[in-house]
Amino acid sequence: MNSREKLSSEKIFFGLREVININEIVKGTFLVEISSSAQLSKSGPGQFVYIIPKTQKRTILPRPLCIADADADTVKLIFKVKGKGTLYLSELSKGDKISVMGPLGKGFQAVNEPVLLAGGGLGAAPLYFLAKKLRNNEKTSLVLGFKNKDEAYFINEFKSVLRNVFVCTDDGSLGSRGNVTGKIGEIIKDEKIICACGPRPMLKSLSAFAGENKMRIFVSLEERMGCGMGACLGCVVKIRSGGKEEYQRVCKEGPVFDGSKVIY
Amino acid sequence: MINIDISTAVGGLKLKNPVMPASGTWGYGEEYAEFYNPGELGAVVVKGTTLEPRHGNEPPRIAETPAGMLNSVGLQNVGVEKFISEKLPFLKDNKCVVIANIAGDSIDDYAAIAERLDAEKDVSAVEVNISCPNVSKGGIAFGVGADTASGVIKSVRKKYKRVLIAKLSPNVTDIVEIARACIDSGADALTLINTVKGMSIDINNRKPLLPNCTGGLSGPAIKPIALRMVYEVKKATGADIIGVGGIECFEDALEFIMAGANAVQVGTANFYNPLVMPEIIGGFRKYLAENKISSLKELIGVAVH
Repeated sequence: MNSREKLSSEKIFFGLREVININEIVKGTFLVEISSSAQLSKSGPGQFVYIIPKTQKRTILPRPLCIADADADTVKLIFKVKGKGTLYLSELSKGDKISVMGPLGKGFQAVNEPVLLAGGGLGAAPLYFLAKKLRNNEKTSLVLGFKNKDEAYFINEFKSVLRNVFVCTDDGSLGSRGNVTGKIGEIIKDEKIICACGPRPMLKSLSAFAGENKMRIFVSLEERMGCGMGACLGCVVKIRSGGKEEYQRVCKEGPVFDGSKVIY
Repeated sequence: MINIDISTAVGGLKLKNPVMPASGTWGYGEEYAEFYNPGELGAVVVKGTTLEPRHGNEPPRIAETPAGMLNSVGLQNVGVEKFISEKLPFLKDNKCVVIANIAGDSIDDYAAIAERLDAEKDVSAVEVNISCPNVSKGGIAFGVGADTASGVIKSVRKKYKRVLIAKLSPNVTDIVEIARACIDSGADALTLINTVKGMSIDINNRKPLLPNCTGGLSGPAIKPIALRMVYEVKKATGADIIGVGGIECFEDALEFIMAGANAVQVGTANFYNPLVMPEIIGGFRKYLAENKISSLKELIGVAVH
């Protein structure tokens, strides 16, 4: 245990963790497994960790990565290479030490009624963790949307925990052709809740769909972050609250928000 | 074994150690309390506070740059009344020395907020922000000219009796001139520097990455600029200075002390190392002990010739 780990809080770990494994699961999308800690093992679906790659190539800010699974031994994180920071992360190797802070943010709340899960692209990752945690998963349906078959991942993993998994792609190269909202419209039964993570336009259309069908919807949002702790106000999104519009922090009040209150 | 004293003073304000967060990088002290008690710090400088609550600028508000970051938060804050009723009690409970960073659209705004805070004895000092580059009115507009800077400081001085610190912008031709104007107008000390105005372009969308077009550059990229300005102002005026800009370790902080700063603020480094400030405080103690120096005050300005 180094001096920083001694100073970590009871809830949030901050210190070095070891890369146990890193794999490119589809082109440009990586699954990295790191060693866990007492705090990280208590992560919930929708929460994230802040990662600083240990590299000569200098980036300043940590990168928020969504947690795809966590237990006492390992934490699984999924990320897509989008810029320099994630490119450097993709160059990590087994055995490397990286600086980790987390778990951070408010994730999906556990629900005991039938729920529809909707994941688009990289947004599938936190839903895997959520699917594993749901107690009524035999009644849970999941729709995964990707651009094409080459970008699809975790299909078999989802099928191992959920009975009803539907895949759609923009070009029809895997599953049915179309988008997530369209597919949700086809398969909906008596579910009253949607939990979604994906691109902003997808979350916007799903929130509209939920409104029309009198459903509750929880969406996981992304924004550029500074501190990850709620101090810098860098990652805000506009939310309806008490009849007013206000900026709320993705890192603190989110990343999971009531989709009906998000101003897209 | 010598007795190590890392206490310092800024404009008459006594601090048990020289380390405090830069305004806007540490919220109101609650956020990082997960990791350590904010009362361990020399002082807590709170989020820039205005008379009325502010929404701030449209996101995205942050862009990463080489060795730094740009922000255009735009002074989002709860306003002075909520600061006093909702945020100040936590800081008081944790025995923090509180420095309120204040900003306004007009000289009257600054005077009104100063008057309000003068009635709050738990606020030990105000840091007058005449240097925010991210708001369309006020902020830096007051800080780029000696006359306008002087006008704001005089108005605050009339309403605020305790320690008055002016936070200056580096986006000026002659920082010494502005510094002198602030001291002559009643400032007890100066904070040097606020962020450096910069920009970043999204090459895919072919437009500025920040909707506000420009933002304030912070982080290690600006340390040499900040250090030079602390040095120049100390040499020319001898004023009490809080040095800030790109400090990410104890050695950086010590450079500022040797350049003439009485205390230091840490900003962007908090984002990637939430323990950086306690680490810097520990670094000062260790350095003094190893070099058999009994008081940090002996090191203030030793490099100024």
